[in-house]
Amino acid sequence: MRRFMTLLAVALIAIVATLHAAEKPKVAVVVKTLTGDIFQLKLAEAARDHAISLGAEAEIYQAGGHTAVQKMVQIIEDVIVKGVDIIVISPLDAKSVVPAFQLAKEEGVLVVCMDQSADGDDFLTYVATDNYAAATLAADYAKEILGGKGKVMIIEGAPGSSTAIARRDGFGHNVVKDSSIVIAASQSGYWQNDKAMEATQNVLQANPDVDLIFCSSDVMVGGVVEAVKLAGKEGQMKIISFDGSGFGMNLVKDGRITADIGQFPIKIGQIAVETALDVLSGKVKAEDVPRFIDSGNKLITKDNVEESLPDAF
Amino acid sequence: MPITLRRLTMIKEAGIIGWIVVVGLLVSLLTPAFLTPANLLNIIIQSSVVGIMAIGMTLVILTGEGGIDLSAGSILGISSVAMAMAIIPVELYRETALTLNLPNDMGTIVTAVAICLVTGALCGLVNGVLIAFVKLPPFIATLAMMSAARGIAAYISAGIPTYGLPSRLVWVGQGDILGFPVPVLLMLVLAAVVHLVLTRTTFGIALFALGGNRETARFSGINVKAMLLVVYTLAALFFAIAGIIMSARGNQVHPDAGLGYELYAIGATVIGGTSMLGGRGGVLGAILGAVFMAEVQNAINLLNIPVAYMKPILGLLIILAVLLDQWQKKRSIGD
Repeated sequence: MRRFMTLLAVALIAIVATLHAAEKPKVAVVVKTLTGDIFQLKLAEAARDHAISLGAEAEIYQAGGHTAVQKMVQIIEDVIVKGVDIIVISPLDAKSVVPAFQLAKEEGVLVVCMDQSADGDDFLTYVATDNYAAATLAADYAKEILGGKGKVMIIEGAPGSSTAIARRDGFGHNVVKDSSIVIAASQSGYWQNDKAMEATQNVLQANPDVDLIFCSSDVMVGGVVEAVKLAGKEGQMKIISFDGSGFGMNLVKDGRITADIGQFPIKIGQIAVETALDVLSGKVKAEDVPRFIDSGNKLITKDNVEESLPDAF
Repeated sequence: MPITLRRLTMIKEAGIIGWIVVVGLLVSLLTPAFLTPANLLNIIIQSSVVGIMAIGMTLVILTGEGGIDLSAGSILGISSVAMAMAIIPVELYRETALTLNLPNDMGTIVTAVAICLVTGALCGLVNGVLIAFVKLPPFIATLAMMSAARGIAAYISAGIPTYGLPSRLVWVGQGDILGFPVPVLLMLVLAAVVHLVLTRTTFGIALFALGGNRETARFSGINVKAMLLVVYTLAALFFAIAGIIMSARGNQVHPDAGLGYELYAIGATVIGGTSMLGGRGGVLGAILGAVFMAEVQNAINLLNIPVAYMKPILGLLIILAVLLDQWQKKRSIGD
């Protein structure tokens, strides 16, 4: 009898434990790659850690490269079979994941896109930096420090990239609004620092009197800084960059660039997970969630760079 | 007079020189910023990385039978990363190196440069072995190397770019000797040496023979396998040198450095008159091809032409240049 009671107790504990575990929502964090991409790394870690702190189970899966489309689709299918409740994902491209997203919807799995959106409407929402809005912030600051007049140039990202276009237009459209600032040139740096350096050097040949350069990414800003230095204009030409990476912020701290527009991969990951968990628990209705959530931006200058550095990626 | 003009068109490089002049004249009509000593120097400096890569690419393409090196850009990348990692301590690699007190002694720099060159040469040696001994087509072997070298570069550096190199190294890219920029001098010296080797040595003759007809070359006692091994290794050495210049000029090293540059190098080589079939061409044309490409890029930036037009314009010019070249060759054969 005593032995029976013990067995019963053990069985009860086991059942309760299983039930308890089943109550814990399961989250799959799917990203492009963790090696060589600090943005993706911070995003993934933030999503996982935030999910765990909110009482969920979470695991990171990586496709293993910026072109591993097939692998990513397979990961999505696998985690659906494993029975996850939520997938927060940074898709490799907008199209390839669509069938897998449909499958997720049929199985009742919530999908949230991070940083990169997808086609169709089989996902709950898309969380990312509003690049146009963030570049507008750069334009407003440019107008302020130039006193509403002067000559600027833009170093764009790769042609055809939607991010590159949003940043170029966000800055370009707004810097000329209500000011007498002229855009001397807007040329591509192809997201590569050596190309950005050459473009800057060339444009400066035709426009040595440029007052400010807006560089569309911290990836390219080193080339811009070198070009300005070699032109003997260090300290005279203002430079505003975009990203808020550790590299960019250190340049601000060092006084080599005037400002950096910060974006927040950590916030993107946290918002994505929290939104999905709220919908899963019924706290928020799925139809009340907006299609796009801006993770925000921040103007980083010498005044606030110290306090901003912990947010850098 | 007709004779001189005729002679002029007989020069191998006449076609590309003509293109450089035509585009130059056109652009200088459109903007006064083009024809200034500073801007012309600017163009030549900007052509040095692709120019030096094109020297290596010319050697490879000259071997014929599909000789090509698609891993040129990746070899540039992995060699530069190896160089940077030899200078910057691993625990500091993630910091913005600019703010660090980096070792600037000659010993460290020379070691780092040596590591860069050895890394490049090793990649080239692997290419050579795969092509000469495993008998893989050059397109496949170097495509594999393109992917592998880029992957390793990203892995060992954790994908982190580093900005700020020792000033002695930066001098190689930004410094000058008696007013002549170091990268330009390097490009000219290397081109002159390789030109002499190609035209005045048995190695050069053997290389042209190899590209002309590989069977005949084999029967006339040329060690084809050894030649291929040497050529691919040598070419990779040039890609590594281009990597040193790119890093030093930009004062930074990025694991993605040289991404897509194999196409610029091939473009410069072909525009410069080297036949994709091998056996015909030279390095002087390749250098001029690189100058031409830098000139076009410069013109687009100066005139603020929307970037979407850049690549189509370059593509069109490559086709025109090659067509002109073929027409010129046909005429000279017709004579």
